[in-house]
Amino acid sequence: MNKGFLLFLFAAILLAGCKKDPDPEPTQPDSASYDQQSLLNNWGDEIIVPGYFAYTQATSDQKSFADAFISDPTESSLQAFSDKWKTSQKTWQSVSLFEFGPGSDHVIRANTNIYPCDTTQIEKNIQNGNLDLSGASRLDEKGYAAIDYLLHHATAAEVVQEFKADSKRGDYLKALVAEVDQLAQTVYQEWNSGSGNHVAEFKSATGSNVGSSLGIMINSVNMHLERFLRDGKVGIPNGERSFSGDPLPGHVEAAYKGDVSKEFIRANLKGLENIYLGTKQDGSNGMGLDDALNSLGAKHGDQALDAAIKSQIASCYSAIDAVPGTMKEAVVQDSDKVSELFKEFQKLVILLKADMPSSLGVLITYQDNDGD
Amino acid sequence: MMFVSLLRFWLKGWIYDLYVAPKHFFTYYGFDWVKPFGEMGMYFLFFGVMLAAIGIALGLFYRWSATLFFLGFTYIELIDKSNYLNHYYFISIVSLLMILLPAHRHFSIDVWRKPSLNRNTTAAWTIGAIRLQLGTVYFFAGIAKLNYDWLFRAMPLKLWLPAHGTIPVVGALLQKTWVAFAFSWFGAIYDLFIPFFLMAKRFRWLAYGAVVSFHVITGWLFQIGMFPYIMILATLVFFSADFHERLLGKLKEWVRYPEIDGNSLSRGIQARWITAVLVLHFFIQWAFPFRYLAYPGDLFWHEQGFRFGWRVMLIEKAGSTFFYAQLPGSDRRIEIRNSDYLTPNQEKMMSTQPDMMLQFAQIIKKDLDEKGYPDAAIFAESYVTLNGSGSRPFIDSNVNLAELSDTWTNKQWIKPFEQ
Repeated sequence: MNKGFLLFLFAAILLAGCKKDPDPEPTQPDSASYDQQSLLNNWGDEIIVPGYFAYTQATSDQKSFADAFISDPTESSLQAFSDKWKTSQKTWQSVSLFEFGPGSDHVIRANTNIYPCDTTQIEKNIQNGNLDLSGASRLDEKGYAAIDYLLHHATAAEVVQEFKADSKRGDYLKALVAEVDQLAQTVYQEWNSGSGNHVAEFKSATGSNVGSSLGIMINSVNMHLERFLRDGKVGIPNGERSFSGDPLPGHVEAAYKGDVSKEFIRANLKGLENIYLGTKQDGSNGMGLDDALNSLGAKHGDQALDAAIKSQIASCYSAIDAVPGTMKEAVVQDSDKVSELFKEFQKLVILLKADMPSSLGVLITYQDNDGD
Repeated sequence: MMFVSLLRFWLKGWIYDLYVAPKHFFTYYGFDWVKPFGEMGMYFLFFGVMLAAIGIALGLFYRWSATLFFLGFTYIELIDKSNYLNHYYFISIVSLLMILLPAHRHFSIDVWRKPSLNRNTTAAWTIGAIRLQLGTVYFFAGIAKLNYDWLFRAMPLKLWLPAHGTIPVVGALLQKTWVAFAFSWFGAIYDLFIPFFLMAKRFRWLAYGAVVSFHVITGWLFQIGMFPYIMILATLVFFSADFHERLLGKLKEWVRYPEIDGNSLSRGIQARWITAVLVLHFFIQWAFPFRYLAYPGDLFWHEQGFRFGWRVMLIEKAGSTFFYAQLPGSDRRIEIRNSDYLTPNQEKMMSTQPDMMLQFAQIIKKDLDEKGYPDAAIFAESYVTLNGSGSRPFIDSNVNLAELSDTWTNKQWIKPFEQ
């Protein structure tokens, strides 16, 4: 290998590499940066911790109203409790994507909100007085779906009658609301700066590698959007995953109450949007991913990536509103409208899973490994 | 060194994560027969390769150790494409060369067992081969960097560096656009010329200083594991013989290694055979990375001819890919959940690499066959962003991927990367 040949090779490659017509570059800012620390502070102090705090208030309300109903089952105490159940599950939607740190240590999502529930097994548990609901096989016998079933599977008069007739039913319900509340309190305590202080750990894990808070948050947002919001709340009930295409109205969230599923989908999307925009618990705007993308000058085609994401989130809201009636009815009668919603979520997945991490320099990896 | 690497792999639980946990594996073209051995089997294999690594270092049963190491390590690498890393490939190649080299002929347990093996001098080709291989890695990595995005848009470093903006002192610097450009150009120049500077006696220490700082900085900024340390140690091979003698001398005193005289020489016939192998090896090494020239379009976009070309840390690519299955006689496409089949890491790799998409389509088809849905057509909708381009459709979503098989020919169903 002589040097002359090497030089020739080198020159040839240089030429080959530069043959491409330079496309006009947009004017570049001389530096691209955002204050990641403010982002993490805002997420931790202003969204996650207050979010969990609000959630604990909702779960403890649900618990005390459940106790009131159980000790004196009437149609009005049932109605009062049902309202608190709804508030509690709706509040859950804003924190359900934080399945990391204490949330994942206690597997709060699976223990709180697996649906549909196994009604046969629930009735068996009530009869046998089985109140120990720990263990992976019991996930579909408790949580919000089970409470929904006990409260709403028949008319209010019938439900009151059931609870009056058998105190074991009340014991079971008590155990359900107690566990939901217990999980919420535990996770909140572990996050809170006063006790477990995971929030300090969260704020100090800067950077973008595996284990960084930014990476963890983006992974959680994506996983939640894809599996739990898009599939769980929309795709699966609409039969998107089965060859027959048969709708599964019983698989919508809160299937027994029936008329709150869309509201929960909205609330869940709102929770995701709050993380993206940095919207604080009090509704004011703080540092979010939108600010980060804008200061890095992230683009999507000709427009700013942030603009593309915001407009896609808006399209998702419109698609929720475009679904007529309740989710339960829509998957049967207006399946194509639900499919539209599914597709809008799909487009949001693409932006958040491919474009956003790539622009932030985050390695989307759910597993520690060496890159190259 | 390799022993430490493997031990780290083991301790981090990666053996389980990468070779036991996944339900399906992406094998390499022509190596479909390579399969993991189940949990215990994989641990045994790793254990064997680790022993071999120690054997090489101590010069104990050297040729056997080198052969075992090469075969074992390469086998592990061939199990799954998702785990492809340039430096694993590098280790495989070097261990292949080591089989041929008489590296156990001086200061080794083998010589201590059989003094007649001892040799104080070694033929120039032995050192040369390793140097040439190292030089090749650098030089080709340098060539790969000579592209428009790298040199004139500072991509992907412009995306990667600001992510480290929180590092004290230099964090603010890393967010400057000019720093990304400086890094890009320095990286390209460094890779292209470092082999030559290392060859030249006058610049050797200077060059080695550059090697150490370059790899320490990159190792510190990016998640690349052991690679920097491997390179830092490996480049020592460029130093002169007496430098190594002095090092070994210190070691010898330390382990009280007996003086052994004797200087056996190699036999001609063996040498000729080895020469032939080496020439062939380097010919392949230099030709293979250029196979991408045979494919039309943007190499980074379609990645045909990307692997095994020393293209290190070159592109930022991310995608989301959705697979759909359609039964014969029905117009209904249902979406497949990738996570039912793949680990998140596999999914991430598959989402931007067309050959893996084909393999995944086959995996889905086979699974549906077994579940009683024969002859399903598999389609994929894929959106990929390359160096911050913004996601755009990557492949033709109306092509039945289950009917295609991976070949060396150009994949027509990849959409062109329109600027």
